[in-house]
Amino acid sequence: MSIIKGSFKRQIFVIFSTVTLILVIIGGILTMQGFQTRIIMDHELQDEEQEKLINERLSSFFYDAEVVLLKLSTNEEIRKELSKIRPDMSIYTQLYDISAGIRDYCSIDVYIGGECRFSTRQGGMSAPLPENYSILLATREAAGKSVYGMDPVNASGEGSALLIARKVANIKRDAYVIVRIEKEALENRLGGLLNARDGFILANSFLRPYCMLGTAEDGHVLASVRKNLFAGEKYTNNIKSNVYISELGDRGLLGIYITMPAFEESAVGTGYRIVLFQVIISIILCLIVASRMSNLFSKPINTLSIAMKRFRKGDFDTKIELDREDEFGQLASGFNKMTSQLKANMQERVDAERRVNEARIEMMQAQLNPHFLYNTLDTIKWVAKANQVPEIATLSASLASILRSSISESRFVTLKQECELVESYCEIQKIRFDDSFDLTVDVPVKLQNVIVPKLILQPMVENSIIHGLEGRRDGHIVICAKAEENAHGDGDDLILTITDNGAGISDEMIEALKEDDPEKLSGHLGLNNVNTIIRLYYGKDYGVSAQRPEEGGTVMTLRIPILTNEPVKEQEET
Amino acid sequence: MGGVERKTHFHNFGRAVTALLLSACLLFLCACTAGKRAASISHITEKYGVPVDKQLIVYTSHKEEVYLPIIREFENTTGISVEIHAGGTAELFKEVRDNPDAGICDIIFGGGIESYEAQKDLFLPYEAVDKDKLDKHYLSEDDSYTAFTELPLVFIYNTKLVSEDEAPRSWYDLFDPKWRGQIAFADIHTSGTSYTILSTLSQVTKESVRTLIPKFLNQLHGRLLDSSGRIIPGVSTGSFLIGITLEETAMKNINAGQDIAMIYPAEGTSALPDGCAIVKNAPHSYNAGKFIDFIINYDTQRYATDMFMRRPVRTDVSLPSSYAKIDQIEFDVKRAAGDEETYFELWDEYLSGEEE
Repeated sequence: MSIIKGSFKRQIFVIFSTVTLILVIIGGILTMQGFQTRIIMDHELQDEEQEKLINERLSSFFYDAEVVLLKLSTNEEIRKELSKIRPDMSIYTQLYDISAGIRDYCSIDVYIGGECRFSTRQGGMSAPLPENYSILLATREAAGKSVYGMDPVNASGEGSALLIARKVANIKRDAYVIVRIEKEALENRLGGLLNARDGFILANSFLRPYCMLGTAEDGHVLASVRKNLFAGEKYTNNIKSNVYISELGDRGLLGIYITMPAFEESAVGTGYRIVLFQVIISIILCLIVASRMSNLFSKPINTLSIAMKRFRKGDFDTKIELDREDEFGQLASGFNKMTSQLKANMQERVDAERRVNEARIEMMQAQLNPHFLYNTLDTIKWVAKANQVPEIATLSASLASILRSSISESRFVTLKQECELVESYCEIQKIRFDDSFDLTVDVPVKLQNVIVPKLILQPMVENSIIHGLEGRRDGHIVICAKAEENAHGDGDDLILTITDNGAGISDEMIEALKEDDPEKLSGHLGLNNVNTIIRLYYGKDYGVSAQRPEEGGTVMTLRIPILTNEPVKEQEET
Repeated sequence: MGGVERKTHFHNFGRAVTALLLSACLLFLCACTAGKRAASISHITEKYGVPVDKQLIVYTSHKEEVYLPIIREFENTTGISVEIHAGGTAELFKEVRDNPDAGICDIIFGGGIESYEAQKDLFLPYEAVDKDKLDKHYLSEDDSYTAFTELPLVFIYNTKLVSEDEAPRSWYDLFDPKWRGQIAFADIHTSGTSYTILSTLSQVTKESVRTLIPKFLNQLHGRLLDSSGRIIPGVSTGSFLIGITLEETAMKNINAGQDIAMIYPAEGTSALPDGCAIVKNAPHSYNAGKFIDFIINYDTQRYATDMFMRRPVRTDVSLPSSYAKIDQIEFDVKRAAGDEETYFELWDEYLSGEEE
């Protein structure tokens, strides 16, 4: 099996051969059988017709003989003459007269006891017959009937003359009229009905022959039939010829008609040889077709498999050249597309990697600057202090504080640190806006260590300073922190309010914040960013909202959960 | 287009189905006709088949003209079918002896009773129904076999070459020098009759076999026939002047107009019958018994006497006028049977000696 499974070609061959052979063999045998059956059937029908003709002719012949016998045995003149001690020749008149119709085929004898006394036979009398044996005994016992029997004189296995005897009625002595039919007469009688290849046997019920004609002459068929009947088998068993046995009325006679088989063995043999020839031809055809088919299938598959191997080894330029438009062609072009795509992808990834590396180097190089800036700012602070320029010292100290916070990698800070950053920022802005506002930070101590995202207060405050307190001299910004139970009631939220006494936020902005509409918030990038950051970290329940109290100004409210750890990356915190 | 194509496919498919159905019908038809024929075959087979209790296997060494009418009549009267196996006596005995358990044969019919006497062990004793009506001369002591007909030995001579006066009258005349090389005689290996002749000659002349055989062979002068069937042609055509044969054979041929005449030996002659016996392990021994009863019943004996020129073994069957009265010698069947081997040995010995 493995030999077959190891090769596509062999598999195709086996499948093709199996299918074809099944078709050819079954088809061939069926055809042969059907053909044979049909021919045999026709042949048998024909034989049966012929057999019927033969039997009819014999039967009518026997019937005529019986009629003659009946007439002779009951004829008044014959009976009268036979009753005499010395019957005279006048019997012949009646004998010839009555037997005229059948005399051509048989002789008619009149026996007194066992002696033949009158006969139509040419050239003498028929041989004496035993009185108490065979035909005469049977005839005596069946008085008033015609009896069929074999001539007990000169018996032969090849046949004996057929005697049809009838006892002459109502006379004192035993006298018989006998129709004697010789083998030759039967042969003549049937002559036209038997052709050269036919045979016919007339036999008694024990299959002892009266005559064997034509092909049956050698007695083989009769012997075989007897053997079969003795063995209790069908009488046709083991006989090549067709044998038809039928009873000729109730005369105790059997007609055995023998014809040659419809098919000579050689004809059947030839038929099967043709089937065999077809089988061989189909095997050869299968071989050729299998080879072609496998080439058709396996060549592109082989090409594909080789290309795949090359591709696996890293040759991304692998291409398949197939001049076909079928699925194999599509497969090849698909493969080619796949390799080129993969190659492009690969290139892209390599480029990206390179770009990432470059960025990393750049970043590493850029990181030098903030530290340098920070150190410089520190130096400026000290130089300013030494030269007693406190504004510059405050500016540089605040800027340094903001810078430190912004360059730190941590994304979360404590509320206290965030507030300090806002305070530093405000220090700078105060100088910038000429102390036009002040900042109050009111964070209870217990909330000072709450963790919040970095830089969420600064944009709020910046918003207040730039949009709310623009042009005012007495601006106030108050940052308040308080704890409030959250909506679920399972913890507290931190509420940070940034209150200013500025121009007041527009209704439009309040709506925009509510709807979290980035379009409308585009002018207030800081606000939008804070809102987004909070929502990203903590969900939709949290974020920035705005109010415009009646007394004026704006109250921005940030709601975030009270957490003492970073919400996502806990490990970084530790 | 697609629609049309599909239709064509469907059409083809339909045609294929029709073809298939048609062939199925054809096969069915064939089967039906075959069925009719089969019925006819089985009817005949059933009606004329021969059940085992209606069978009989007869091995016979008789001529066809003898056994056939008798067997046909046996079949007609008893309804028993007979399978006939014809062959030479010795051959048939050998076949039966070689296959003791095969049940190939029910009955052996034909062959001198000395052969039956010699090979008694092959047979199943059977006492015929009409045993008391049989000739006591040739009854088997233990019913091993039953004689069928008596066959006296006679001399024949060519009527054109030998005058009635010259013809041999006595067994002793056979040794007359004028008959040297002129006696038609078959080899005892192939002819049971030849053995019976020698045995009779020995018993009549009371001469020892040891001297008789060389003397007789010398008288034959090396001219031996290979079958007893050639004795009559041999004499009638003049190749031999005289011969010894069975009365039956001689009478038939005389009636047939052959140029021969028959002489009953003056000292009397043996009329060793041919026999019939049931074989041990006969598969149809009951029918075999019927057959023995049949062949010795009055009608068959009468028939054999009238038709075959064979003398009846029944004492109540009268001889027709054509039969001469003969003096029968007291033939010792047992002795004839017992001496067989010695005869054959001596025969072969002297025959080969003479050839040299």
